[in-house]
Amino acid sequence: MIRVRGLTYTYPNSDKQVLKNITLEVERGETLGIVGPNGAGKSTFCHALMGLVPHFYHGTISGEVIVNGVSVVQSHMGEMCRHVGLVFQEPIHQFSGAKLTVEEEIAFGLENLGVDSATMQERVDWVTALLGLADLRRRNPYELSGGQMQRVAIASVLVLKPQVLVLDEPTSQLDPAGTAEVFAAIEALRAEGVTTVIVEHKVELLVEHCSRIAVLVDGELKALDTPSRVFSRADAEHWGVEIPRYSRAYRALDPASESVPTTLHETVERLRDYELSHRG
Amino acid sequence: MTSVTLYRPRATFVHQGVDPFTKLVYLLCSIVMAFAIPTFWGAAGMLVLNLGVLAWARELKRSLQTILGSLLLLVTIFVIQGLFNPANRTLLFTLGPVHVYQEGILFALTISFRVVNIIAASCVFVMTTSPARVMDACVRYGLPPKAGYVVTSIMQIIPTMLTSVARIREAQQSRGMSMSGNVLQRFRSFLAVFGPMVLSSLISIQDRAIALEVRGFSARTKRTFYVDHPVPRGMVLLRALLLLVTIAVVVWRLAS
Amino acid sequence: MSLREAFRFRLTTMGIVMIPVAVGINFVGKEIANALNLPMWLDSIGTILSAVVAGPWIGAISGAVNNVFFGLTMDGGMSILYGITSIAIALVAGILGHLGWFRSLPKAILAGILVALTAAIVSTPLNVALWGGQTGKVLGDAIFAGMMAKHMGIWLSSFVDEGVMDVIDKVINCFVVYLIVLGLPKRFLQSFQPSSTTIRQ
Repeated sequence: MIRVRGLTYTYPNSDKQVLKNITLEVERGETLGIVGPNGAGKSTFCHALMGLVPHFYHGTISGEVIVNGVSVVQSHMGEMCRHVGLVFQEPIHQFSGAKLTVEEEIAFGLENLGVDSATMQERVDWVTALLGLADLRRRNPYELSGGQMQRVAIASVLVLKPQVLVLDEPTSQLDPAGTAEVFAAIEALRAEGVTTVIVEHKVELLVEHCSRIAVLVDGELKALDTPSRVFSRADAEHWGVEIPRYSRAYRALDPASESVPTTLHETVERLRDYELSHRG
Repeated sequence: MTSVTLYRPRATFVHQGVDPFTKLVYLLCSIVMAFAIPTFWGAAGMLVLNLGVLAWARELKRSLQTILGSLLLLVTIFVIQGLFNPANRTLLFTLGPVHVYQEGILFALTISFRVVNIIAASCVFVMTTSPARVMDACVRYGLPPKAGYVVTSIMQIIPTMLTSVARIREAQQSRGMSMSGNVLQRFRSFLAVFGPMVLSSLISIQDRAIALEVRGFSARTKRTFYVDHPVPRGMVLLRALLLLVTIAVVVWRLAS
Repeated sequence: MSLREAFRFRLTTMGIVMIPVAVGINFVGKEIANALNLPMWLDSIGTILSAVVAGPWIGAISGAVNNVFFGLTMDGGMSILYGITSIAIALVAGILGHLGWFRSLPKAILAGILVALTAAIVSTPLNVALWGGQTGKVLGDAIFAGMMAKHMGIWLSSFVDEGVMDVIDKVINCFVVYLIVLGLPKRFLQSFQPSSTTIRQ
């Protein structure tokens, strides 16, 4: 679904390579998590999947980015938003600013793409039901809670039926309740078969929802594997990335392990096994 | 949410029976006619018509308040023109050492009718029409959607800015900023409140631009509309009538 | 970058989003100045700022949209006509901004004077047509009455009436714009500059 080969990128008026020779693939329906310290190029990478890099930011790019069979570098932004959806941090900044009800806000992208009105209605019905927004359709989007706003933001890109959804720190401005709402929405997307890429600092939440984790440090892809294997690596401490506390606890118990558990559920299982194997 | 517009929804024919675009045509025609109409009787007739429409829309009171707002300026126009207009020849009356001339007073009268007519016609439009609906209608009639977007989003941005100003003002006041004092101190307070608001709204521009891009804002397809507002019957006729009357008044002006 | 390059018309999404923000800044500036009882209008900061940051054309559109918007929502015809003045202000401020005049305080103040002269030249015919030459501001209109009494002609009197008020107001507007530009991150200012995309194989 996503194929990135040798992606290297430099912003205009700058000499620093923000992305350095990144190569990775994401399968259809997979959920990929991206972690890394601030300034590692995570947002830039998200923007490259969407085509904002280079079409919006300009600058110097090399390598290829293919999403849903389309070359991002060769395509116009108006074309890309049919294939990829992007959601980012601040919910209020993602609103068009031109619509006074939630449903009109959600339909904004459809209007831009010239979708006919019957299809438009159908899509809005579908996405509001999927993300639990049906009761909020007539509300003013600016008067919602943070979690509700972020779900509206997700709905307004998802309504364009992209094959890939990219979420760049979607919960960093939200309280725990809002964060839970957003992750519940992500689960709903997974059930729909949407390929998802999530940048998230709350690593313990991330590992619950992702099949694989990519680690970006200083523009380089340091690791790309299952959460368990990524956080088992000896150099994980040096990335400047938070390691799930379950993994840290388990590592203290079993320093030699090559696949530490990352979630509570896994840890409980492994501790049981560990106990059994060390009892006898 | 703070309202930035004078529009109040009401259930009158002027509000709901006439579509926004027709009211825009009415405003533009009225501005042209206010300049073109050649006689005082014509201008007075136009004023009566405007006030009649305002009464129909039950907005006469608010409109008169708006018109009274420019009364002081109109009075000084009569004084200055009556006394000093360069064309003054015919003495109208004398008040002690002050000579008031007919030419200046007639000139002031022309200007006053023009101003009051423009304000009254504006009230008809502004007080009875939702700005969002006007832009929507203009986009349907071929205004570029980006232009429509710009105007509509102002209505969303201003309340957001005012909220952030209130928040900043509270924060600065708790740090000892005073809202009174001499002009220099008040100007400093202005900067302390205004500066942070401007910087934060400028910084959010890039996020907003990206949000629009990812939702097909630059797509070159012909756009469609989620909400449909049918134009009431007879409106095309009304628009044509307004244009015809305007043309007639301009011809009358040129002929007289 | 040449002046011609600065005047090339390009409507990026960044520029489009700048326009409503500029109109909002104009409005809020005026509101705060009112609330603080300041003796000036401070209602063109957004227009001048957008011209300096995003170039003369975005500035000119911001100015025009500003007057059309407030015309359509607040006072109807009057302010729409003065949109021409806003456009002229933005064009001059945009050129001066391009020449770097808003990066030093003395030049910013000089820019204020030039912007004020522009505003006065463009507004005078409108003032004459609409108000018989007056501006509705007490100080300016007193000067107008004095000059009319001395038979100095409606055009000159009206120009001085408008000009005096504009010089005070626009110099302060430009001073505030100078302070804001000083506080903006370089990366932000660059994001409005034209740049090119290079694709390497």
